Amino acid sequence: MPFNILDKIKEEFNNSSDLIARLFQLKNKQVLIVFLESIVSSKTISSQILRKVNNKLTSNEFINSLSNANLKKLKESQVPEFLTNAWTVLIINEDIYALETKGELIRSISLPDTQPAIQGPKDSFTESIQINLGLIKRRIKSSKLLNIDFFIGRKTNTKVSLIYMDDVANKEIVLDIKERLEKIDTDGILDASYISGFITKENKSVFPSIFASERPDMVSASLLEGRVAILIDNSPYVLILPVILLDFINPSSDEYNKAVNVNFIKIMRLICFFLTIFLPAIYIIVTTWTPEILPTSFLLNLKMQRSLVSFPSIIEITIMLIICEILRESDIRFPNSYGSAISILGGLVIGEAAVNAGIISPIMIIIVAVTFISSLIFNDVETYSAVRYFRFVLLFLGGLLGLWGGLLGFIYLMTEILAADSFKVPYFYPIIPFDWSYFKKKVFKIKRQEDLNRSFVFSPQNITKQKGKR
Amino acid sequence: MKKIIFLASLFLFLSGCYNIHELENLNVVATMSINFQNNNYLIEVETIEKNNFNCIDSFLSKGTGKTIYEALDSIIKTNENSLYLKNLQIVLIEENTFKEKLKEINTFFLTNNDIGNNFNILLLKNTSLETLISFDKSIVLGEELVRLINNQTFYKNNPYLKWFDVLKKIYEDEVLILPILNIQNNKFSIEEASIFEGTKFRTNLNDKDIKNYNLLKENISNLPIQVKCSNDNFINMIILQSKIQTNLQNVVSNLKGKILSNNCKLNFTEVQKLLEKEISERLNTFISIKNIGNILFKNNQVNKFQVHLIIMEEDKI
Repeated sequence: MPFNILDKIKEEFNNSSDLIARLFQLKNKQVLIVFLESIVSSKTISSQILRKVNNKLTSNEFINSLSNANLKKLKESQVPEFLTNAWTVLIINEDIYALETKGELIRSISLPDTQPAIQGPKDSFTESIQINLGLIKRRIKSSKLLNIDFFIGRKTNTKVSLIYMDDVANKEIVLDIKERLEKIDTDGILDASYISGFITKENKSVFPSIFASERPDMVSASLLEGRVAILIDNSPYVLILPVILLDFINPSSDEYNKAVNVNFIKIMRLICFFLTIFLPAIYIIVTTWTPEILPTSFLLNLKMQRSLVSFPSIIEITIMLIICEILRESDIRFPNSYGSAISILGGLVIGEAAVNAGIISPIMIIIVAVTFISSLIFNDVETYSAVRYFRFVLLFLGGLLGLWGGLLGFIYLMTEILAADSFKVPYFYPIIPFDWSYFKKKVFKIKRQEDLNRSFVFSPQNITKQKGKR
Repeated sequence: MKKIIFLASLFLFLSGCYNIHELENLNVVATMSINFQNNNYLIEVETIEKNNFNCIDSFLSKGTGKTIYEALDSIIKTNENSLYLKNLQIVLIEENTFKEKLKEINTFFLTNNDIGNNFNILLLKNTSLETLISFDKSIVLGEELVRLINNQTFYKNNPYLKWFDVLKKIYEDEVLILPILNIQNNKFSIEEASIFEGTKFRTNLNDKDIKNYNLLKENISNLPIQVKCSNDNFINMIILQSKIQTNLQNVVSNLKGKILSNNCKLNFTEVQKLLEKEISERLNTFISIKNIGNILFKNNQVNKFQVHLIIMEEDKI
């Protein structure tokens, strides 16, 4: 009988090489132990199953001796599902049991790579949804913190967990996200970006409408604010939604510093946001269309520098920006050990050599460097890409039509930002629609004692955050 | 997609990039002079450029034509690069050309989009841009002249030298004073000015006249005055403030001043009377000789000119 079931399992798994089946003799019956070698922990199997096998024990005594809390009796049809979830199946005649023997296929909790903060917690999410959930629940010890689980992916059957504060989150948004998750019908979900792509498919804006965070403190803060998070198994990123543009410019790690010190940095980041989009276009517009706004001495300086270059300014700046993008991309893709080589080569190429070769002028290095360094304040890849997109659009419109082109590009940028929304929350909130109390909290940092309310957009039913003087 | 291609091609073909400039293709003009002689306009321009040693070199180009446009075109034709007139610092206009061809000059500046409007205007007398540049080749003439204008006490208080201010004065028939550039003792100097009422030329003023004029226009700060009381004895004073009161036929000038040095053996009242008499005579002579009483005091027939001088004590200044 056990062999009949084993044959069916082998057939189901197409005689997969990591499917292991071992037969042991008990006092009265034989027990067949089946597991997938690649995903189980052999240590757990040895200590919790194999050491208990004894031909002096009856089958019942053997099952009772298994100390694992996760022991389940299965139907024959459930066997493949449990095997793929790293359980070990024990077949004793017609009875089938399963024991959880998951292997440690995940890395330990480490420092955040892409969203580092000088102060504040240093832990980051891992690929295990259970650990990630634990990292959040360790911070918010409330029965109101709810999570709804989904299993998405016909082949991958990935666990996805929607998590929110029941008494704080906007119910409409929760319902909307739930519906969108339920509608996903695909072969596989391998990362958070898959979910992000499915639930925001109607958003045509280049700006991201979901924030992917690897910081449990950031996610917890968002949940307390009334936002919703989505955890995806095998992804070290947790999706936060809905989001607004300012979330990408000013990260929540600012919360750990004093208001008076952070405000300067926050304003600098806003300046950088505009600088990285507009600076190349402004340079081209000013130098090729309206040089009269430059003081004569500076104009002569620029003219002298430009006289060494053989290309028109627009080509010169495009070459430089593309070289910078190539350097950035290669720096990301290459192993860290190559990083210094790329830096040296890049520094030489876009520095002295390019100037001497008459490809670019020294002023262009300054313009591109300021543009590029300003863009590095965004650690979200999607935001960086959106900024890059608008940088090139404005550059070409400005180069083609001058000041009018720049204005046209600005209108396009503003239209794009104003028309976008993230799960019905306006993207340019709290500027449009204007909400002073949230604006001063988001653009600047207010004292913690003064931060009394949540935003009515994220938490319409429970806006009071803390008691204090009003 | 077709729409995007259509729009992109519209941008490409209709924008024309008609006034796109690459900086290296521009000849930056710092100074321009206009002279009408022998029924032709002579335009001279000083173009500037930074050399590899970080110093500024200046070059002269000139052209003639029946109109200013024609003269300018003849310069452009001889140059490899186009003339860039938006950062023009100063325009020198020959004195008689300004008096006779003001309308044409105005039309040129008003209708030409390629010329900036933040330049100063100076009149030229008996000289040309070429002479001025050859006079000292190590300097940028435009910059030097702007510095000269800014260092003149008279012109500091008269912001009429910018083109738009000149234009406003002309069209509103107001009094316009334009400085005249001279070369004296191997130095550029501005010691004369022409006074216009609208487009009508009234008179030329020398350095002394300009001081008197400013005194009457309440437009002075620390104006030094020297009065002789006897041989080799002088009273030196500075006028700190001037206030003019006009009645129907009298003009009273109330001045406040401070005595710097006094060699004369006179008491305070005598000094005051002497100074009042001296300044009063000086101003009366100025008005009668230059015949500009009606310009200064509109609607007043000036018969008598009185001066009240208050000499301030040291600690009240």
